[in-house]
Amino acid sequence: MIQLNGVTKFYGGVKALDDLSATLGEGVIGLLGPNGAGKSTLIKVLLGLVRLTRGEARVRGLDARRDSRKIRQRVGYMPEDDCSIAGLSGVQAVAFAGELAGLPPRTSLRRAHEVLDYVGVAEERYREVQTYSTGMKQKAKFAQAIIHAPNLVFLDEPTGGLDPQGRERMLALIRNLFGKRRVSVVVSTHILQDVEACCDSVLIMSRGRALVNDTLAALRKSVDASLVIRFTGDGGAFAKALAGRGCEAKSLGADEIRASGEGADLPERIFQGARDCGVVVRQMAAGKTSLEEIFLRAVAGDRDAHL
Amino acid sequence: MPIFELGYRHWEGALTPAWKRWATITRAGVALAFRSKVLRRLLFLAWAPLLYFGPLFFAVGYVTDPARGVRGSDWASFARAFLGTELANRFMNDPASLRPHVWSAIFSHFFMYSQGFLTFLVLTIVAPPLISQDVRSKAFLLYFSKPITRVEYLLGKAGTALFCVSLVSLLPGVVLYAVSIALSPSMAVLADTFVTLPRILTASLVVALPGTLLVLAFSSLTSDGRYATFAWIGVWMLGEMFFRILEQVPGLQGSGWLFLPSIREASNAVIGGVFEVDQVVALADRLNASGRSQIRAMLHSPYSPAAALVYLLGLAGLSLAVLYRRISAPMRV
Repeated sequence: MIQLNGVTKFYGGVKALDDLSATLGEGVIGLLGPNGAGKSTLIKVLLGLVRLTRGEARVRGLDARRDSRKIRQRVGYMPEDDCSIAGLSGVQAVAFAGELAGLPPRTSLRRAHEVLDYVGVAEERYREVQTYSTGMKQKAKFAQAIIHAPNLVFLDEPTGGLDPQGRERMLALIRNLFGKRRVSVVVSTHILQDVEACCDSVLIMSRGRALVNDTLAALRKSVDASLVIRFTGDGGAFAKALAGRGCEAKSLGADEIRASGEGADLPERIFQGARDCGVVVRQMAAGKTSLEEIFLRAVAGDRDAHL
Repeated sequence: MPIFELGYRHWEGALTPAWKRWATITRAGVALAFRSKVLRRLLFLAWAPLLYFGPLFFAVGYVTDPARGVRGSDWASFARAFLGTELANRFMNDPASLRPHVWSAIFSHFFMYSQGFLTFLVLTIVAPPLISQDVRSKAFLLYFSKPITRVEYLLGKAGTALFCVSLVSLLPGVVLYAVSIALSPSMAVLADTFVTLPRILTASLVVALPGTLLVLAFSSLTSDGRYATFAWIGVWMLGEMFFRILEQVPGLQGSGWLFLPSIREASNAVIGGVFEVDQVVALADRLNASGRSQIRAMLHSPYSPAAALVYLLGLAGLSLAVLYRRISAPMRV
């Protein structure tokens, strides 16, 4: 769906994208990264809004540099910012976005009503967008992004400023868009739980480079050689005992610890360590690495490499 | 599987051609602008000058009709009041050869004074918020994430202002032309004055385009339309005042570039050139015993139309450069 090959973008002397290479397939893809990682620049590059300094970016086989107009015809974009046009009601704003994308006026108005029904904007559609709550504005922007029937949608912080209920609805819409309509979605966000909740794969970026690019399932599998132990006793002594038996231990709370290490005899070594310090192991289960850990590990690794 | 579902549906159909997309921006902009009561009243007011110029055309048509013998009538006095006694008398004797000049004089007056000022007012109301609102809400991203180029965006925004301005310049001008043809003694007048229509179009552009681009440039520099309004009014009015002061400076009176601070004076010089006002002024001067006709006082600009045109084009070009840079700026962040 998206191919990036040595994509580099300088803003003056600042390198926003640094030799970024990645391939993104169909599905719901999370674009993660700390502030300044280059996520927004990457989306603008893919939409052809900013020119690449070096490299090649292709969206559904179209060159982002040469075919930007064709790309924007087939792609939807929901910006993070307000982006409302003063004076337009919800339905007018969405129909206007459709007309900008080339829909005939009548068709655009009809589709505006359809997509507003889909995103859950009811009678409020006849009110000016500028009077909307944050949640309503997000829905209106979402509708503006999909009115022209794109086959790929970029969403920039789609759940920003939403309450838990609104966030859950937005995530459901995103899941529905690919699950039922086969419209691929790239979600740029800081909220890791959102990515975990709706994405199939993730591209983690830092300093303009791709650190991790894989499916969530594969990522979890690759780092899940750990065990989570619930115990009764002295946690500090238990961690020391585990270290003494060649295990890496990380406290997860007062009575919980994550232990990892090489070899099939890891459970046995844990029990031996517990015995050494008089700790009672109450539960042992295969560790489940959260996206947060994957993200922090990737970003920390990148930071260490730059120090 | 649901029997009925209000879901998202794919759509495939014929798209509007890319070259017409800018008109969407113009259409939306005009619809929003027309919500202003002040603008609607101003557009109504824009037709008031026709109450003067319509009868004036009737008068110059009426007095050239030899069958009527109306030289002593009120209509003849009306024509004399505008043209001056000598030129009016000459016109009555030889209407066919002088009609293009007389019409030029009337139309140039129409554009230089009443419609020129109304254009300034319409631009003051319509243009300042056009881009500044997009700067404030960052709506550029909404436009440019669709298949719209920056040039099309600019065309759409300029189209909004130009459409509104055309309602006080081009449209009344064309209507006035149609009325004056209708009030003429014969349709032969159409042949004498056919060149007036393209002149009206050109004069409308001269009045509207540089000002439109300048206000839009101001609008792009701020997120608050009020500042753009103040900047536009300031440039227009202070420029006019500065020009008036410079006119009084003895050493500068012969300078051909004295019009530079005044957009209005530059526009008037070009409009004078478009309607070839100098020909009718020279003729009226020759007929006048003192050598200086009242037409000269009304219509003659001492400045070169070519120099004024270069200045206005430069102003428009500079405004375009600012505009293009400013609307590209959000993409560089």
